[in-house]
Amino acid sequence: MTPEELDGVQSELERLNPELSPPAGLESRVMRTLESRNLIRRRRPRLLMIVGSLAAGILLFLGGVLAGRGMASPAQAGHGPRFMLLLYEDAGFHRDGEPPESFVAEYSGWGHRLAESGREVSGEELAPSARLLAPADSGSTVAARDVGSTAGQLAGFFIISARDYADAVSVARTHPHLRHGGRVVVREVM
Amino acid sequence: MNHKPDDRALVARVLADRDERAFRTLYRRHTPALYRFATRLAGGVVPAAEEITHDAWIRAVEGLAGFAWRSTFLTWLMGIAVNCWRGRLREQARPMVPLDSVQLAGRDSQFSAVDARIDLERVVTGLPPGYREVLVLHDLHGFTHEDIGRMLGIEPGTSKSQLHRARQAVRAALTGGKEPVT
Repeated sequence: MTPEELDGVQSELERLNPELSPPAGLESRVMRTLESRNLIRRRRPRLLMIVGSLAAGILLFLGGVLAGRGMASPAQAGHGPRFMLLLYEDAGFHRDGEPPESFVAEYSGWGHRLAESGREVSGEELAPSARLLAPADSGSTVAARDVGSTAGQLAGFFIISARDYADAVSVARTHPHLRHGGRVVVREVM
Repeated sequence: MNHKPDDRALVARVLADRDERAFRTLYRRHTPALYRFATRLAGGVVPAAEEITHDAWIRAVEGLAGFAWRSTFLTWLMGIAVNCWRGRLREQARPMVPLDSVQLAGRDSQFSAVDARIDLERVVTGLPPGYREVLVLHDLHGFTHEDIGRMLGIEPGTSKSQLHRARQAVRAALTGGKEPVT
């Protein structure tokens, strides 16, 4: 057998190197084991405040981290596409008299169920106020102004894993924010 | 700006704070390669590959404080995966399939790429463990003999000779030769 023939083995072997993706749920399983052995400290749920309507001046949002255990991981698409669900509130957002706690439970439950289905889920709440930076008229300086209380403000976001855009949109359709009259913008994370 | 922390920084955060986010970054960075490797070691058996990958990560984190950075993090991780696989073999006490018992389809003009690939899989799976480890690490994952030596606890020269014999065995099996695997 010549050296050339042996080198040819390597090129044949390269055919065995297709893209093999780790199975769904493996990441969460590893995390659970590490946590059970006290090797990793899972981030605790941050109590997400919920908010109410703009009229009440309260921001409602429950970040994905709300989940704490089990919520911040699995990876059906842990190495695949991720999408950001931007949650907006405007005058159409309504609380129907529900207390903030019920929003916490509802949004949190949505995140938990998504994580349990093997998707990666994370999120953060956003404070109601924000500063918009833009070039000033002179073009050489930057002006900042408050944009916190304009209609249609961004209340928070989730980042989820999804197979593709259509999949992400189908997940976003189930978000309870829509049930309350909020709007959800879906954008892929590059 | 997209600053990606290097492995050392991430490991330091895991050690200092048991930092979940740092670990997840490490996990997502290295698991695709680790899982591919585990799949090859396990002969394409997905549940076994998953177990190897899982166990390798657990052992890695358990032993993180002792990692001295004499190799890259991935090299170290692969070495742990090899040990996990060997442990499984010992537990199962399952004899390896002798290479010459691997039945190969004929290689005529109708021989499809899929068939060829399946054959190749079976040949690699049928290799003795030492050969398979070196062959997969070198030819499929591109590790050097020095890296492989560190992972497997052997001399680079031994890795080289194991690779040579492994390739001989694969070639012989694929061409229907009877070259013995020693």
